[in-house]
Amino acid sequence: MDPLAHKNKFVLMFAAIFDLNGKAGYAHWHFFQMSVPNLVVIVLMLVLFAVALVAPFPGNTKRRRK
Amino acid sequence: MTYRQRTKAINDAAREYRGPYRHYDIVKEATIAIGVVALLAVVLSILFSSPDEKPATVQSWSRAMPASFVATAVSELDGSSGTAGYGPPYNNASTGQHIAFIHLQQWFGVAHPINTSQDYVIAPLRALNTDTTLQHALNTYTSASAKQQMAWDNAYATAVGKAPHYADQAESREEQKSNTAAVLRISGANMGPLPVMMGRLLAFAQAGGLDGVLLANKQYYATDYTKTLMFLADGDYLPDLAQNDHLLGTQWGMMNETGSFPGQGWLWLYTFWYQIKPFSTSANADVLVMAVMGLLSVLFVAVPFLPGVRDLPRKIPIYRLIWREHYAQLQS
Repeated sequence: MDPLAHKNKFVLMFAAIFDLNGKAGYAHWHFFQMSVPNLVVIVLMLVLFAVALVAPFPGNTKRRRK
Repeated sequence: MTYRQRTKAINDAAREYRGPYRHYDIVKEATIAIGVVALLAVVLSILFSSPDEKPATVQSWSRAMPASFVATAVSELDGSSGTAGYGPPYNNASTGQHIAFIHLQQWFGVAHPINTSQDYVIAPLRALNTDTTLQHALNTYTSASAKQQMAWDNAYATAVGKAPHYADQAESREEQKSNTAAVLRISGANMGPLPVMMGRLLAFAQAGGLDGVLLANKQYYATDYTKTLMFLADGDYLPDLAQNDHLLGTQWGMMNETGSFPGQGWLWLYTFWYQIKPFSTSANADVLVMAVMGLLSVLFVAVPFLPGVRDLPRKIPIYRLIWREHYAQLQS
């Protein structure tokens, strides 16, 4: 029996559902370069900012009904 | 009306708020925010975990690139390595980086002394005191003139530079063994005691002993990795690993992370300067970038006092979009 089998099961139990240890893609333009994961996070932040601007404040609907 | 009169009128009008007030529970808001962030942290760590890179050690370096390892050790011995010529805080070999009359490195002095030939080669080998052949070789080397030492160093370094797979990382145990054997075969009368010294140092490093020696210090817990890191940085192994993961300074590495994990995106401006001239070609790049970022930080803090810049929120009224219901009520 593999002496590490017990350890491997334990590691697998807590392994990430999405493994991000592989190579990242990179956006390259002249001297500019940025990893795709960084770009994804920046785009998500911008989307979140836009949503925060236009989404109604919680409780506003309640107040309007009053 | 002048600019000053106009802004004074706006400020005076806003001095006393006469609009409606709304109850705001900051404790409730903070509790919700902390709860959401904590939940996000747990969910994201279950989904993505964290980077799991094997540590880069002197042992892994000496096994993967034995020829590069001994070549670097020789450069530490003869004082031609990056660390040996770095200057403060490690030694006085140079004045270090400066900007105009500001010599920060020099002012703070040698706070973390590293004597490369002693710390990386001679002292670790002296510790192997049961090996009489090695101790004899060491005595021969240390008692020789500086000119003779340099001649031995150069002859050995030239031979190592021609070793097969000098710049390649071994990918299997067999490759490691054959590359190590190629280094151990290097010999010649013009190299003096260098083949014995470097052979023993290589074996010591491959067994993990050199990592332990470089970490040893007066503290109970060994947490100072400076010597190990500087030694690794002088060789080709660590820069190769960094290049593969886009972590070099020339690759915007400051904002990257290993694997496919997002990195420190907020450092984009800091690392940006290193990509353009004059920073990318300057020997004082670090201190120049620090100065530029310091200046920009001061300007950022001074935004409320900068005419034009401080008026941007008024000219681009994003706040009206956020508080649109309030302004709609005011209009109606």
